Amino acid sequence: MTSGRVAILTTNHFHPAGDRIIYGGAEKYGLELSRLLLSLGFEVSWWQIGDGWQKEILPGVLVRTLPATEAPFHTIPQLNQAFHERAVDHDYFIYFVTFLAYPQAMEPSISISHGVYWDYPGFDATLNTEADRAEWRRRLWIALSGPRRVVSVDTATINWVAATFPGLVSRFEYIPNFVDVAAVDATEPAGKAPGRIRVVYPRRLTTVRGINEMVRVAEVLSGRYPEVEFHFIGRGHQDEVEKDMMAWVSRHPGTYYYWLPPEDVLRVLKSTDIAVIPSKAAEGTSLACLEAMAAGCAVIASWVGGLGNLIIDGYNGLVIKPTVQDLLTSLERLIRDEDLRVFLGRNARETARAFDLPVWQQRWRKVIQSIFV
Amino acid sequence: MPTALMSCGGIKVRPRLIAMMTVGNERYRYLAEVLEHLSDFVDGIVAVDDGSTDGTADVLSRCPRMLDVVRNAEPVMPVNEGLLRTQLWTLAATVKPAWLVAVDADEMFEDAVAIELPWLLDHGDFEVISFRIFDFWQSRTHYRVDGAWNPWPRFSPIVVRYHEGQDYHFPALEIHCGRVPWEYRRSPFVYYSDIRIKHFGWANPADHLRKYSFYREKDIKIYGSPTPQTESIMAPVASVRVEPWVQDRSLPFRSFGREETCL
Repeated sequence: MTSGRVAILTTNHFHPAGDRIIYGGAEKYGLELSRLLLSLGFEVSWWQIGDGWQKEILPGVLVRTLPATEAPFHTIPQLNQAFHERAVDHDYFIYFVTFLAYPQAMEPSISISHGVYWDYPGFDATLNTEADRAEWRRRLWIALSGPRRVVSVDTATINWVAATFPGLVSRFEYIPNFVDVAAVDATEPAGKAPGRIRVVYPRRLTTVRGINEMVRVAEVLSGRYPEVEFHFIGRGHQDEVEKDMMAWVSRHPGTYYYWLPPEDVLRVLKSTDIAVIPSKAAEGTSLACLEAMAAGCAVIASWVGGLGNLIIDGYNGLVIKPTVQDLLTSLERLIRDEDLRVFLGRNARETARAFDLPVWQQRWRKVIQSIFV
Repeated sequence: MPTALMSCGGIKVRPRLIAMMTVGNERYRYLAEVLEHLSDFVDGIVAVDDGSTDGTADVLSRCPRMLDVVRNAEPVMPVNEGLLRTQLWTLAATVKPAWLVAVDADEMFEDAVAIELPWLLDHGDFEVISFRIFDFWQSRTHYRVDGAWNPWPRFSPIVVRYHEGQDYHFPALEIHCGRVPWEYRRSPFVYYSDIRIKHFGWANPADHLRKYSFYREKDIKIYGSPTPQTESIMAPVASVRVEPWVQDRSLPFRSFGREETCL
């Protein structure tokens, strides 16, 4: 006897062709949410855009696909409609991204906000007229109104909603992202040569994550500080980006580019002195940031999105404007000041305990048990 | 006969990673180099010597990591690759490794493999590790990228977790049957590695006509005419696109000041 069947709608856990997993913080969140639901006795299935394939992401947990080709006003009504037709044999529903609950939300449902995603410079250009922008806001309001609860990973989103749609804010529940502190503690650090300082950018190679700024800063500082290693760990969304990055590191001694499974990224973070999270937009309470904190890294993070929920400037990290100059200045400061690195890293590690996985599970359990009954 | 248990500090342990390969007249090609390369990160190697007549057996016998070699008096590869791959798989299965790496005698991983692969093998959530294969073209400095030669969007299953007692099958194909059993190609638990594989099978122009003739004959027999990929082997120089290989990546994670542990 199960507690019921939960269908989770997302955009692209995998590439829509099914041949390339897009593995980042949101996907890790999805796996942990699936495990939590399974532990509570639910059956779980995922639904995303695709042409008919299906894959198993955990034993008994399938990703199924639905057709969708258009995304007007940053919503995907085709996907929403197909989900409503195909998932009718389920009992409970989760919209893994808020806008997927437009125009209709199944009953009962929960949606998840992973942070403000409309703060990148190009967003405004995607909605050319005031009428378009009004239509996007109208659709977002509908998407946020349908589910019984909206779980937000950060307070930046909640504050934006409070200012924009005051009546909706009572639907929100703040559950910041998590880090598995016990797993981090148990991870054996990767080796590091004596006297080396390790700087890590543990993010995908995308502009909103600040890859171009970090590359520029590494170009400058790798020449200035030969004892510093610069590690870029993460996949690009296109093969060309990965190819270019491999070529770039080959021209710059002391720089490294690779990607690893999440467990192995922890090994590297455990031997890292400085982790850099220079996001420019579309950021929540970054799992990469939390992992770096739990690993005891001194973190340099931008003020964007939910990072302010994690880092207090000068106490457990440095908070910067995500520009080349600010990143360069703060990184050079930490390279030169070992005492400050150690101080920030120690406090970051303590702070991470407030975001421990069991805390996140308990918060989510409470929401699930109040809605899925 | 190979043993399923290997000695590590006097304790018998199951081998973690075994390399398997078919070889056919490889003595004067890349075999010695490849065996030395593999010996850096595998526990043992098994091979099927497919009718070699050039002394390939001597190269195999000199490799300290070689666990077992089966020799075919007559080459099976020209008749049916599926049979040869099945023969190799059966041999490898006798060692009962935790993982198998299926390499050709003209392929090498980039240097990062010695660090990254042992980490990947620790994980419980993959069945298959896939890699990009770069076909070096008429040199050991440039690889081919036009058409289906482009390595960037293409990952191939090379390292697989072995399950004793499970049935495995190769498709009944004379060529292109794949180097790991069909079951792995349907597995959803795949990790796509950033480690690149260098394939030198096309690095020597002297090999091209022989290989072209082999695949052309097979294509005509199986499909009725040569496939575009086979025809592209002899494409005019002007239509071949290559890119320079950027240096092998190595990662600075050697265990400094600590003993290396047994696999």
